[in-house]
Amino acid sequence: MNKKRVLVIPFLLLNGAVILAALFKGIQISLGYYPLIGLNKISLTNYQQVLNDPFFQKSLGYSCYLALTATFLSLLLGLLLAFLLLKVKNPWLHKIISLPISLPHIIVALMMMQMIGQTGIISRFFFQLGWIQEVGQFLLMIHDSGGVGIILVFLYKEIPYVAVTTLAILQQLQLGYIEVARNLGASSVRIFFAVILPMIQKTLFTLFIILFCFTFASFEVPYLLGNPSNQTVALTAYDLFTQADLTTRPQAFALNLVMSGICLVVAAVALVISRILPGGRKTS
Amino acid sequence: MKRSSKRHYFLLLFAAILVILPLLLLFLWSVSAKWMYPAVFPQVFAGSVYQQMLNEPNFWPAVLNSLLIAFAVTIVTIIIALPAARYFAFQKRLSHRLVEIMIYLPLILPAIAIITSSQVLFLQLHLTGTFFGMILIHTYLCLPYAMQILLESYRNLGEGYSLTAQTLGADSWSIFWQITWPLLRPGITTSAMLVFIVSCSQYLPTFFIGGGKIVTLPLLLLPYANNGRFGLASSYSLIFLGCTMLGVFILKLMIGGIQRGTKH
Repeated sequence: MNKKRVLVIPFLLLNGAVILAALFKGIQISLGYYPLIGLNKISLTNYQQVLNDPFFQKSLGYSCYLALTATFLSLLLGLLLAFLLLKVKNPWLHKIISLPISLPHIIVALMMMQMIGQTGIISRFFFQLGWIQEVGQFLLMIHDSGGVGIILVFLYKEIPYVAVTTLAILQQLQLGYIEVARNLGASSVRIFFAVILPMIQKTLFTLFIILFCFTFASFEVPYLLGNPSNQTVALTAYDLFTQADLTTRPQAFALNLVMSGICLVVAAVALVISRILPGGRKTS
Repeated sequence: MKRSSKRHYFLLLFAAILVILPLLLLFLWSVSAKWMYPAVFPQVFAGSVYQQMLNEPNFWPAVLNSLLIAFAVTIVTIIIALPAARYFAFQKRLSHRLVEIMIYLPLILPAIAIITSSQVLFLQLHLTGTFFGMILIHTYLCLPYAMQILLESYRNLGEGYSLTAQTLGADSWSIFWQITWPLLRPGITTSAMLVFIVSCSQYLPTFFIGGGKIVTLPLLLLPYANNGRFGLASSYSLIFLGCTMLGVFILKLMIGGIQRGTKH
């Protein structure tokens, strides 16, 4: 038994070392201890600045909006797609549907520009059909303030991911639970809440946590498709870090830790909700 | 009944077309030499974009670096994840949820926060711009993916086979090679492929930890995509996809040949 436990050590060591070291450095510098540029007074001013500055508040809010929208839509549409995959058993279609999971976000963002950008293929078709007379008339969906392009990139990547992940559990549902419930006279709504939801909610909440945290802090997609006046937190942090002036660093680290805190709180809340819901306490 | 199944089929077909269409567009852009605005189809087809890409001095180093780092990361990740996943799968003290959270922590914590903090630390340890530093940070980011799949595989496999072998007197080394490895091969292959792809796609860790010395394909691709140079960006994307397919193919061969035997 002891010998087996030794085998987890490399995993714990690597994860623990990276996380703790990063956290320690982050906390140290964000509290104002940064000898490299002559800072060595411990204070909370950086956190106050980050939390009170309207610019930071705006980017935090914008990131939350993007992450929540993309995540909820991905979960909903991914689940619907999973039901379709369950019904249609064409291996080729299954392969094609799971393709986006392995495409990097940068490439998907590029494809999105080529599709729905103002000079994209859809705009070109609209022009040929005479629905628009010049480029500018095409609806702005890339670099727009609503982040439509950003959300679409995440949907393209995440809907198949949700579908493939939930498919395995939905297959268990086919073992007859739904038919039994229906024979016993349960309505569709009742079947969903009493049979389907308890079986899949844990996976859905895990997916929610992973997708939310990823979208919330993602960098490449908003960097390529974002609106200059609406920055996401990751972009703000990136800007603060890549400046030659090192004095913005402590603020950047404070922002990092605020971001990490938000992700951890969202994860914790999601876990608690999942535990309260039917099926949450079942171990396995 | 018949009609509704037909409708399902067409809906899924529609979804598949939505997936494929942007990829076709990517290909068209990479082989077009001229494609001005209102034209729906490229006006001039040519391979000039690829020529331009091949002439770039950073092109081959980027390809080699991408492949080299991804291979190293895949091997290290699998070596770390296999025993850890085994332990987590068969232990009874921690709940499944807790194990899940431990595994997913690198996905929950914002990557940019961990990477930028690590950069400050790595600078002090002289690890920025080294392959060691890159492999370390990539492995950290790839471990959750490998752990998730391997944990599931171990749980499906169960402890029965290895316990039987143990009772018959096999030592743990031969249990691993004779029983676990062949039975777990599909899971190991899947996780290795995923880790390879994830490692290849990383931009931020390469940007911050690579310190400008290590160039990979995403690092070259991002500026072109950002400047609206669709042709070059598309050809880089396709080369990138080719590289990952090559790597995945080699990994498949390495981990146990083309899959044979039991098929579910």
